[in-house]
Amino acid sequence: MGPVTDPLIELRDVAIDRGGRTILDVPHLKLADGTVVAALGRNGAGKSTLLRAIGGLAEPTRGTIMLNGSPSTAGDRRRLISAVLQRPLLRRGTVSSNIEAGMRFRGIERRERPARTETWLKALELSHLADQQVHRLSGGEAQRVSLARALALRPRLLLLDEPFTSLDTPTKAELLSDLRGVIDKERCAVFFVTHDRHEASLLADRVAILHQGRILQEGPLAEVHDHPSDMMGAELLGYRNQLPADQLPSAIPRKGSMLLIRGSDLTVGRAPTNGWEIPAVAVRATIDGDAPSVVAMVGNIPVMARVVDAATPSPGESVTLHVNPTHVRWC
Amino acid sequence: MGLIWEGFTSALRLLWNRDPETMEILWLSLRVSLSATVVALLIGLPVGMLIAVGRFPGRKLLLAAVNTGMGLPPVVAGLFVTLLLWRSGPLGAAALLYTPTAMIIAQAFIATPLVAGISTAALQQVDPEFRTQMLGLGAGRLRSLYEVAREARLPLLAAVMAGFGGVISEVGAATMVGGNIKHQTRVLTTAAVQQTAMGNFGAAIAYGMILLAIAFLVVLVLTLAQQHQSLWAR
Amino acid sequence: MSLRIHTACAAVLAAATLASCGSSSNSPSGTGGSSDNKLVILATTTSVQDSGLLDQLVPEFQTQSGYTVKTIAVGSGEALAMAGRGEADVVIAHDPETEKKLVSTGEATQSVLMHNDFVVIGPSSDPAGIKQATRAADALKRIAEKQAAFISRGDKSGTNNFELKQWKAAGVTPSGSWYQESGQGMGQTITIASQKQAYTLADRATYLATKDSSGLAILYEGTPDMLNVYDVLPVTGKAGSRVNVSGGKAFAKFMLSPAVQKEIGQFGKDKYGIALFDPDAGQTAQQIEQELAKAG
Repeated sequence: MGPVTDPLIELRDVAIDRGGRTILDVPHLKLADGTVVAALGRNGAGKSTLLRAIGGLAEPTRGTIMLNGSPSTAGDRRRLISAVLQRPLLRRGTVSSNIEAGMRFRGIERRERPARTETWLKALELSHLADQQVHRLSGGEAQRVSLARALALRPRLLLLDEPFTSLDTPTKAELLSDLRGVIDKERCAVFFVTHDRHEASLLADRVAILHQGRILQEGPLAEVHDHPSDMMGAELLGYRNQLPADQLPSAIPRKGSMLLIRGSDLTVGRAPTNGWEIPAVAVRATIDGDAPSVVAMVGNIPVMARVVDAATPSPGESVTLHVNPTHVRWC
Repeated sequence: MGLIWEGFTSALRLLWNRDPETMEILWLSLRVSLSATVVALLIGLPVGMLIAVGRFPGRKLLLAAVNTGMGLPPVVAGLFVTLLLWRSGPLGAAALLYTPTAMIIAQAFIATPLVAGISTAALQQVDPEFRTQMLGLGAGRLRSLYEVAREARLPLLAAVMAGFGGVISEVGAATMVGGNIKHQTRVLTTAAVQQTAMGNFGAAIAYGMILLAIAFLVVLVLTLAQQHQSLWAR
Repeated sequence: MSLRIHTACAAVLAAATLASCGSSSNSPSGTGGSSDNKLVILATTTSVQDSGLLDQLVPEFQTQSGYTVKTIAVGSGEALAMAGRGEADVVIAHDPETEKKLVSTGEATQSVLMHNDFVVIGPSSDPAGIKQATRAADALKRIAEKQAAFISRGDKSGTNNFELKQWKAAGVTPSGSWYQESGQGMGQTITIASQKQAYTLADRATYLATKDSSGLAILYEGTPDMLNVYDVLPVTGKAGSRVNVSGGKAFAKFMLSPAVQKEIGQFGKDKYGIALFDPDAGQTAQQIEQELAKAG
């Protein structure tokens, strides 16, 4: 076992069975020190289970999880992690006492604790709430406390399980940028779970796509982002329009069996220069986020396109969809 | 009605003057029932934790047994312990029948299911993920269980008080295994029954009033604890 | 919770546990039938216990002999049953028939201890007119004929068995809504009779003790057939391997000793004006009856 090149965590043939089904099956996965890995997937894909297996919070039914090159027990791994679970599960008491609790569990010296508490309260803008009882906090504040509590332990591996789900968009955005800053400074390894590709792109160095307990694709962020290896991955990464090559007009050069276009990149109305044109029939008007859009059929494939600089087409109307070729991906 | 007033004033007088016989009976009642409650806590709380947090075959059966035990009539508990402790019984050599120890044992049988059952309910109120989160912050396995209990500490306090309340006021087991022997195994409940049997209703009511006072104090403690939740939090 | 509260809780727990340990060391645990066992279990009928006689005599015995006595007050029936199982070392009872069975099997020996009498009590209006009766059985017969409310112990105690004997002598099988069985001790039975303004059969000692609260009057008394003889029965090793034979014997000897017999003869005079019991050590039941017949 070469000590320098060993990843921090390595999963080998790890599987977890529950109630007769295999809910997680990961033949191979590596986590290196200092890297941020996002596990992206739908609800029920097994992301949380994977997170818990890595962190020693769930026992694998089969397989081994290596720590620094040697087989490890769940207890071994628990020693180097701190976790933020989906709901902020805070202990009865004040915000400060919660941040201190983890340090007490870890045996961090009493003298050090107040300083660290103060540091992390400040980092997550919680200083004014230090003596507040936790049952009075808002959802966002509670989640911040949960994060501060985990970060105060300066873990080697930080585990985040969809920690931003219960937050409203502005709070989420703030927290994401704060967190990125903290991770950069602390240089800890992070494994975090999300179903939101924007969070993944903001925080992650590497992405693993999970579906039904299996990893479909894993690699550096840019690579997975630009070259999704299959439909499920593509969809998770936002390529919601998936057109089989045989449905496309002949003018479009084929580079794979499926053309992937983001919802925001397919437009009806103003045509981009050098854009491809795809004929379709409008079905109904809709709103995507806050942009007026239309659901249309290309042959028998439904797509969603943004309406740009034009009136929304009426149902049944023939339309021309436009896309910039540099924004598409092939699968 | 005059008897109730007479009983009330008797109770006050006995307590104020520290009437030696009354003090002896009161002290023994507290000693026996508190000890039984301690035993019930030491057994019942872990059982409650086991049922609430554990996953093992037969868990539901254990819960059913605990819930059934909660309805155990004290007289039956007394009978069962008598059969164990009397001379011809398996533990007869210990000569424990008609001692306060026998009463503690019988009352422990009564209080333990109460403490276990209510503890289970109390601990099940804590988010099941809470323990995982504590483990995820570095708490050891036992420590994480302690943290779960700490979250449920107020309903757990209620469990203990329920156990105590159930035994301080029972008379069936205390009579059968204790024998209401003067200076040895006479407690408030058995003394009250004896006074009633002898037609001394005033004295019986006096003992009853003292029991009520104890019950009131217990409820008071619990209520204050619940009201001052924020004081207890750190 | 703070460390302080933790320590406080631990202290309370420790104190309670220590206290309970302390209590068991006070009561000596014996090893059953061995000769140095200092524990004596006395099973007695409730009427003797409730009179307070034993509260006076037992401490004396304990001081003199060094034995510790556990007085268990139950009905004669249960007391004798306990003896039969070897769960008691000495019995005070007033149920001659049941006692005879125990003696015949060699499980106990019997000596007459003391006597007093039974009385029939009821509302002073005496609806069944039992004041005119000449025998106990006659008094009960009148109650049955009048179907006046009567509360029976119904618990196989000595008092209950005496009552049943009288019904038999009267040739009556008591049944009907007027005849009610309380299944409880004498004091409670008297209370029920008082509340229902009914008749009942009681021992004089318990009647005197509850006279003020019951408001019932003695309506039939004094004839020799109302004799209530108490016996003391030390239990033998035959009843059980853990019986404290020497302890039981010592207690019986104490109760029959001249000094204690004299005490018995004085007991109750200061409270009730008359003694509750007449000491009878050394006599038999027939001898006592004959003496009473001569006197009355």
